[in-house]
Amino acid sequence: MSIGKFLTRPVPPALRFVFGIGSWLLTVAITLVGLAALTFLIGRVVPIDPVLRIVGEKAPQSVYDRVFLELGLNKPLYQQFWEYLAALLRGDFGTSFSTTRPVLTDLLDFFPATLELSSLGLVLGIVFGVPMGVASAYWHEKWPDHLIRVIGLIGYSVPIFWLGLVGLFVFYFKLGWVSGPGQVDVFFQGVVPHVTGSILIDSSLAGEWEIFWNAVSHMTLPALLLGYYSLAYISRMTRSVMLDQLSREYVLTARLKGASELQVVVGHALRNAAIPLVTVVALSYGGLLEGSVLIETIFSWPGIGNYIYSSLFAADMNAVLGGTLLVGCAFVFLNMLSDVLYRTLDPRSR
Amino acid sequence: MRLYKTIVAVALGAVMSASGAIAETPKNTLVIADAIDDIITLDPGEVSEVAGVLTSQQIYQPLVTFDVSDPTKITGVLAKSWEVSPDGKTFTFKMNPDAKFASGNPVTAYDAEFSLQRVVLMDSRISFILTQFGFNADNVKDWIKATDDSTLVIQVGDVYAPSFFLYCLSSYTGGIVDSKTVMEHVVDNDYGNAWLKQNNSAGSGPYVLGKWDPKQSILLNRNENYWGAAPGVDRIFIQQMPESATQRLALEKGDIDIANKLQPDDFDAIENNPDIKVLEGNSSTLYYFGLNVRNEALSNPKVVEAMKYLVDYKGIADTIGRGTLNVHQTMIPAGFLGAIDYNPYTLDIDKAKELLAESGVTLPIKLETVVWNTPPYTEFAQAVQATMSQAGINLDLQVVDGQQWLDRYRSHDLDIWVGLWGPDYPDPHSNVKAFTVNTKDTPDGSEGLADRFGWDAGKLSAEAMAAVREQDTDKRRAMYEAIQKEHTNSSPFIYMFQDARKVAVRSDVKGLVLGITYSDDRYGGVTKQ
Amino acid sequence: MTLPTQSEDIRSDLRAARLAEFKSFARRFMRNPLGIVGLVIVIALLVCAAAAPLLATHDPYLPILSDRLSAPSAEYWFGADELGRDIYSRIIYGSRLTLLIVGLVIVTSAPVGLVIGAVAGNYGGWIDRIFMRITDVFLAIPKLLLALAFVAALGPGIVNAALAITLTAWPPYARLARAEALVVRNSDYVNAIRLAGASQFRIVVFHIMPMCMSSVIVRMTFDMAGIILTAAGLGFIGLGAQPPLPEWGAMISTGRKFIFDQWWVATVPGIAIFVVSLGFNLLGDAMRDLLDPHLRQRN
Repeated sequence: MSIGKFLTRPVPPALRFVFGIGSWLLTVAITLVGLAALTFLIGRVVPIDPVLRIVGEKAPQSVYDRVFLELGLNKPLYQQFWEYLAALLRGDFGTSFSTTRPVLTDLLDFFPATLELSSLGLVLGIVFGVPMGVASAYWHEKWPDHLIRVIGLIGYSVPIFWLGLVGLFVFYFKLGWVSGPGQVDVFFQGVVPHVTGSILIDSSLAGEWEIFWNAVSHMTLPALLLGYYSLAYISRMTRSVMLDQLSREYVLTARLKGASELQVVVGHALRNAAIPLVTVVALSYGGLLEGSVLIETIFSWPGIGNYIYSSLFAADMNAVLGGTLLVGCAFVFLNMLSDVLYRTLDPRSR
Repeated sequence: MRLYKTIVAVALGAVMSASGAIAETPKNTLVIADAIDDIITLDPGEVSEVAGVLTSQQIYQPLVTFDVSDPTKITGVLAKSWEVSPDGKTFTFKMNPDAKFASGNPVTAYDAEFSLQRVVLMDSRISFILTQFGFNADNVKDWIKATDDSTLVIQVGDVYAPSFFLYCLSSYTGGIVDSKTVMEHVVDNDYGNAWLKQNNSAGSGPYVLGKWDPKQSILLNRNENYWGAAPGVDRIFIQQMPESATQRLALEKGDIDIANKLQPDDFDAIENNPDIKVLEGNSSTLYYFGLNVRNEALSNPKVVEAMKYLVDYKGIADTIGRGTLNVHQTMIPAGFLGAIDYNPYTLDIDKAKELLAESGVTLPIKLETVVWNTPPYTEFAQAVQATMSQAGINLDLQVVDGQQWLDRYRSHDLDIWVGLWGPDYPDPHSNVKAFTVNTKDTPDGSEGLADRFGWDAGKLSAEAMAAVREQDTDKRRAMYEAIQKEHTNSSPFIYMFQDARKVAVRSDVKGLVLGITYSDDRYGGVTKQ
Repeated sequence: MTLPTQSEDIRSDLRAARLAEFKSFARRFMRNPLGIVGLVIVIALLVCAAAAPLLATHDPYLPILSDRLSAPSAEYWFGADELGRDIYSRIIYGSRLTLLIVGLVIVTSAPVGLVIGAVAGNYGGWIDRIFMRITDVFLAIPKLLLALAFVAALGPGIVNAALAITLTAWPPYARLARAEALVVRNSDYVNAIRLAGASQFRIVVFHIMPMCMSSVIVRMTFDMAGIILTAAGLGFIGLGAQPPLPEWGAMISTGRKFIFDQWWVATVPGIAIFVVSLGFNLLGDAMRDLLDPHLRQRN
């Protein structure tokens, strides 16, 4: 690791820890400010006029000018950005004009739906992906390996939005096995009190089992799709990590000692592979949050992806900035988490 | 609210389980699928998005309205009667003594005074409908005045056809709010805007606002104090569902009662379904190509004329429109005063080539064309692109989101705009002013479409203003007829189609009255049997 | 990397050695059936693009409104779209657009990433930190959102879509190149060259960047599939190629309206995207197995 090279003098471990946390925080802060700056800049050069969106195409010039001033668009760009950042530090994300609510309220409203969907996808990805990766590594270059690799590669290659459309056509329209777009049926909407924002948890809390099963039926298809998407990545990474472990000497030793194959593979190799796999899972979670943007538009899912997407085209810049920052933060956090996990769990990098 | 929701849930749950596998909406609830994600306010003093106006029409009532089957008939709603002074500049309204708000307060002339004044005083984005009569922040308190509880006197700045002013009052700008209730919620001198904008209402219409979840749904509840015939259903639920195919499936499955955004292909699919009926109504929306005459080639009248021969009007209406588009080549929609049946252009590539040869421009011409990414625009724009290219006019189509589409045309930097126009009130002046009157001739200096596209309408502009001031209806009609023919022949607008309004509903839905635009439907009398 | 002191003999030896290495590479490649499938798909794509006018049965741009949404038949092999254009011919012509986007992104993103990474790795210190922070920022924004915002800012179109994808595609190359550069810059031979007085610029361009090439090439092959999918995603949202261009993602987007009644309009272009990106993935997989030194030792 390159950081080790700078620390040539012996440093007390406690100080080193503080150092580490400090530089980590600094890195996160710089990354987030950079993220905000980039989004802000892109937001301001998008050729959609936020004023026009608010006043409408038929409004007279005087109304246009008034709103232009109200939005502070007459100020220089750096000042607008500075004011935005300052408000952000106070926890104020501004107000979204397309929902007329504070952006923070919106984010708390829309993010849980995304989190719910992508978490389900992740669980499916782990439940199926890890065993597949293990099997693939165990039967390396044999037919199960080829089969599993092809399944994974298909997941990598298929346009997920298209698979969503075809899935809707087959399983919703033709077969009627699942429900269509949306989170629940139309008149179940807004019935369950909003507690956690996750429809499955909220409906169970309220004891609305009918709504619960309705939500399950709506969620099945998009969750399976996201699951497949993460399965492709997880099974592939599991395979390569396991291949590495299975070629280690301790595996040979364990076999010589007469351990069963199951013990060798699951008890030894998979246990050692767990550390890198945790980082893989963290990374794929970030990928899922992102991958849900297109899935959400296909399935009319009231999540953050849909929110950012529609706000972008409405030139609702506070909403776009807030949403992108949130997803970006989640992304940065997951990346850092995988980094930290790797460093603390892996004995070699200590 | 939560308790209420639980009760609804239990009720709905009972209905659901009783009706078995086939979902069906409860009899006391009307579920409507529409695109509602563009709504940014529900304050009747500033609402202007299609779905927003549709919602506010169910909550608020104007002084006067018109008969949707014959817009030339104007009737009173909150006003019982009215008189116009001999000089045509003063309108005196007598309020309807029966009318009362959802709060139980009676509707008085002071409420009307407050509501109309606040549109002007807030400098609202829709104030242009009123300010074109000369109202401004300084004079509005004198010009719009209640003299007692039942009398409202309005003075306008110039002499106009009386129906023109009444139509403007009937539009979405003219919704009357309960001034006593609103005044209780004024913050920072905002005329109650912040309070009315989001989750509250103070109207006299058949429904009151229950809850608006932006980008998701709107719930309207029956107005228990409604002064007219009691509404037929307890609540109306408007669900965000922008896609035609999804709406159709939901309608077929009985998840929704009314599908507001169906496309021709989906109408075909439900044609023989006994559970669904299709209502046809009038729509005054026009589809046109606006040519920017700042472009050198387009400033040549022969080129513009040639392009009018390069559209397969009938082919597009028959294949893409299929009953939802009627060929219409003038600026006043059928059904309005002065509308004429004048469609001189058909697809004629040879004639177009001749005209282009006479024009002296060098072919091919490349023109930047901005199209909204929503059906039917993309489809018919591509069909027009194909026929125009046969004569050497190449349209460089840029398919953009609705917001960008509006921005682009406002900023004048395009060659062709594939557009639509829906009148704000059912008076021909709404269209004629937009397409014909140049800024120099308008009383309030507003910019219309003629200026947007760089076109000097010449004498037509002055003639249009003369027509709106004409007091005699027959003379006024004749003036519009003359202006339109000249306009169709010489203007840089290629009028193509008038929308034919179709809405698919479950067959148990009765009493739905379709208005003259997408936002004018009236749900007050709807029942489900 | 031929030095002027080398004699002709060494050169021809080198050439022979390279030829032998290529032959062994080809031999090992031929043993990988999935890799061959990938190669065949990619070659087929190239043939489609090159011979599009010969392979197409209809004009891909000419609407025949009366044949609107025809089902697949002897006349329209994959059916006709919403304007009565032959979907098969549009798919064939669409291969050109796919190749164009992939090509544009590859020739822009790989060099940018390579230069940034190599410079950062070679110089270290503040330059390294600043460059890598910038890279992190770009990595932290969800790719599709960044591309989306960027195209929205520039205006839709095929070149802008390619630029937007480049914007999201370069950071991994920078990281890769930096990692290689960190190893190479302290190697004995680079130190020797440095002592001999070579400029930093020379070291970066002639010694560090070439060392990164093999891993960059593997990464590129993999990226092709990702680029195709992102481009299709942009097209699907309506920010990629503009009508009447037969871009596959945009074709799915129009077909979406008809998915329940005329399924072929959206299904066929989806299959095309899938097959092509699968081809690049299979090829990339095979290439990595062959070029990755760690795996090579094990086999």
